[in-house]
Amino acid sequence: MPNNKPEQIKELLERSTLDDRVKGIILDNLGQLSPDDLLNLEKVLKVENNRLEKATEDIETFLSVQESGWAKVEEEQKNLAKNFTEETAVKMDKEAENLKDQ
Amino acid sequence: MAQKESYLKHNPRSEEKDVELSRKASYATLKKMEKQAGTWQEQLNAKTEEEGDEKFKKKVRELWKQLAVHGVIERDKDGKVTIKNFTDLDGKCAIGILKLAGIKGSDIEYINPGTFKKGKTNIDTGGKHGFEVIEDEDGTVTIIGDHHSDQSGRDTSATKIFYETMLALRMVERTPALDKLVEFVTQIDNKTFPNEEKYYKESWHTVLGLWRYFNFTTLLKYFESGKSPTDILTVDELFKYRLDKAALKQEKIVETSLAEMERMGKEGLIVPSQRYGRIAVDIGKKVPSGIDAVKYFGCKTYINWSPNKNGFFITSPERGVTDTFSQGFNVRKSMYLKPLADTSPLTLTLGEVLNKMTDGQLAPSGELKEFLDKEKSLKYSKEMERIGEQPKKPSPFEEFIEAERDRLAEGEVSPAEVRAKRDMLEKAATSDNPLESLKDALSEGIISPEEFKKLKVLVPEQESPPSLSSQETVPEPPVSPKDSESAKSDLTESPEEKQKRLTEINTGIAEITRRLREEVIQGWHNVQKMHKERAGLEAEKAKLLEGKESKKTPEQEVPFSEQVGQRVGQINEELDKKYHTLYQEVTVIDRRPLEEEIRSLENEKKNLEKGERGFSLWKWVKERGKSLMEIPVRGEIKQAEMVRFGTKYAANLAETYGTLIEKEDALEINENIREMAEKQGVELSEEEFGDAFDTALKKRIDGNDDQIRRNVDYVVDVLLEQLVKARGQATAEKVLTPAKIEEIKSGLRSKMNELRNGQVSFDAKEFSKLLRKTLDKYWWLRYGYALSEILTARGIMSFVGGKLFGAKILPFASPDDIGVGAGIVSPEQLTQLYMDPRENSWTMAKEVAKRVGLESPTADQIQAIDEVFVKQNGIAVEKWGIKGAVPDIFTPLGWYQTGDAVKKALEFLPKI
Repeated sequence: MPNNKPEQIKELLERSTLDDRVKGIILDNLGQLSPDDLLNLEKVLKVENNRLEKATEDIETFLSVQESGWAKVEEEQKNLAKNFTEETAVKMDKEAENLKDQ
Repeated sequence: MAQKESYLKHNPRSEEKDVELSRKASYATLKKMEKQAGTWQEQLNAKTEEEGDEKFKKKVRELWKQLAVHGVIERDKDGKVTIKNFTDLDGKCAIGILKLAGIKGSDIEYINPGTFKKGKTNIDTGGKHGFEVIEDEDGTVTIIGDHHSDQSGRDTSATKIFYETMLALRMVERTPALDKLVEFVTQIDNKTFPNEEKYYKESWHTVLGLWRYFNFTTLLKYFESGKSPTDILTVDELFKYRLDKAALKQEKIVETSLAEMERMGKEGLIVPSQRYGRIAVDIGKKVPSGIDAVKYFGCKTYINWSPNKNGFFITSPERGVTDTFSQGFNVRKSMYLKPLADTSPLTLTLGEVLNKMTDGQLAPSGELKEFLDKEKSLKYSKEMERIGEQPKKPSPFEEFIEAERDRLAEGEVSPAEVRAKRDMLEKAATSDNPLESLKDALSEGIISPEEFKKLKVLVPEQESPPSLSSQETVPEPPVSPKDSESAKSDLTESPEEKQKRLTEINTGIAEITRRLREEVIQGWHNVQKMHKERAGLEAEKAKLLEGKESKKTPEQEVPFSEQVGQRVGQINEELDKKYHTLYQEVTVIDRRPLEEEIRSLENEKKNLEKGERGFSLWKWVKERGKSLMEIPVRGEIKQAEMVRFGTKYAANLAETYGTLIEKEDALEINENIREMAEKQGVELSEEEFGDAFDTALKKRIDGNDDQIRRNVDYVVDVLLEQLVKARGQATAEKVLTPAKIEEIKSGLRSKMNELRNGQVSFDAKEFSKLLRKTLDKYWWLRYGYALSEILTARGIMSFVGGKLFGAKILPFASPDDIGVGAGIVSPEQLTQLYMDPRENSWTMAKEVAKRVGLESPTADQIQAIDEVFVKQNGIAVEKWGIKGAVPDIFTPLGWYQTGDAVKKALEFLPKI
């Protein structure tokens, strides 16, 4: 995070869900704001940013549980394919052999 | 502006036509006014011409607003024809033009194409040519704007008719973008877009190919950007117009269509003719793009012959269809069809049609010949339906059907229920996968979970491959000396000799497998090498043609998501090859290094996809926040949405995922969603929820579909290759017949799907729980991120808004009052204080209405009061086109009590 306040605000604004029009007006007029205003502005943006992060944590947890579940499914599917190939190859070979016997 | 004026100057409209249209439209309006109180002169009485004009326009808006448009006809799985409550692009855009003129059709009726509704404004239907007014004996006036009569050519559309009418009435302002939209819709509706076939291959990322996914507003926006329908859309634009999924879908459609056209060419299904050029004959509608793909292949005429659907469709956009047949009818001289709505049996034959269209010069070959021969030998309707059917086996569900009949006799079930079950079970009994059919029936509610359990046990197990001894007609396979010896040895040799021979055979198989693997790997290396060489040459060619350096400008750089997609594609290719090798080693050793490589690629792929998902998730969250910003705006959407949301989504979810999610699980999910909706008053559209579900689940399913396909394909490939190598081509083909391969594929696919369905159900349940839990925990998320967004906006406005926007806003919003910065008030309290969306202007407007005795004001009345508030306070409402100093999203609770807004509203109220 940059030390300079306007830079920090710019960075927070980039992550914000605010409308681009509003972002534009704020950025264009940052120079008019007092240090207190800048501080308040930064706090408000941080509140939003923190909340978005909290929400994504929950979603990430869901995703990682889902991730491992699907990895297991894929593994099972691959094993099924391998076993099936082995069994069927032997079976087919026997069939081919029988065919020649006839 | 200057550009617009110049454009209009150089593209003048016909005054004569304007006068004619204006006369007809005015006549319709005046006639409709006769049914109202007072003469039309009294109703339009005004002091100035301008005022009179305005009054007249108001009347048009009032009297034309009962709209009827043709719906789209579809046939359900039982063959029943239904008219759907949506229309085509022409219908949609004509309605859009009327809306632009202020004619807001409140209750649009979707009717059978070709018919019209008495007293209404009929769009793109009615069987007339152009703008027509019909006056009945009882004085009812009907307006029709259509272009489906014999007189209609191919240069007009309903959109064009209503655009010109509204221009004549000066109710819409002419712009270059509107002109282009109207021209484009007319070309699309008439299939006259110039050289359309040239653009077909790229159609998956152009408006010309994706117009089906546009509505009037988005299409207008597109033309306002100054682009042409054939311009290739960038990835950003695809996302902007929400076409990302549609583009992928369209890409597949193009691919499938081109492959099918290739096949048709080889199978004699493209027929030459003098009058119609090359005719493409699509039996059973296998070319999804239809005429578009056909034109790309240089054919001039397309026949979609669907005997199973009792219909056919012939189109020849350039040459026109001049022949007539014993069934069907001509439309706009370029099409001839027997539509789905015509349920009479198809008695006309394809042979008759083709003979007539080729003037008796038809010389069928390949698949076409086979079809025409069968057509000749079979009687139509019932027998045609049997083409391709397998001999009927006794149904395993007969007992169940019998029991249902008994229940019917006892009056426990209705005849319709028994019929539905019987039809479904008959289909299931002959399908490749009866269990899947039963699951479908369960999700569709045709059978109950208990019945499903009973029927499941009746499903026969997959049949084992046909015994070779039964194949008496199969000719003796060629036998190699070694094989002959081996066969003989089985009968005559001792156990020791047999064992010795078996060891030799095993060594032989292992050796062949090793050689095979090496050959395949070498082959892949060569293929990869050639791919690289070709890519290098193509890059050099592109450079030479463009005369540019290969270094990309920032604009040309591939977007992140695309890079991810490309890399995942490469990994998939590599994985395909490596699995191929791995599966070959049925009895083999030495697979560890290969497994390591595969694991590493799989991990890379997962990480990439995870990154992309994270990206999509964040993007989705933001986009959702944006779209939901409109929710607390105000207006009629509020109350109705609040009520209808819960049950509708639940039903939709069950339907969409019904085939994948166990019914019990679907019920639980629906309960979660319903509970969330009730508790939070959430107003999310189905589309938004669909997006959420896609993000969370659908992509996984799609990805796994690929995995399954890969597994299945390679299992079959490996089996075939091994058998060929070990036993020779001829023997292999006798053992592994196409039917057998299909059986293996289908059985394997089904088993793999079963393995995955548990995970799908689990995911869906967890996701619905997540939604409920997260929305409970972070209550501000109940409108996506909209409230958070507003919170930020309001915080900013409170502290610095005056300085930034220079407007007098938030009368009591000093930092001290708010106190967030000083930690006095929590952000949650601030939010509650300022902007509970249900507590702002809408509630205020309702209370004001009550003060004048309107106990249950309608949405229109509330909205009208709200508009007065907004104007009095100088608030800008973009959605309503009202300009002001402060955007409406920044207005706090209590705002309207300031100033004299309430007083003004009270003065205004008696007028509504």
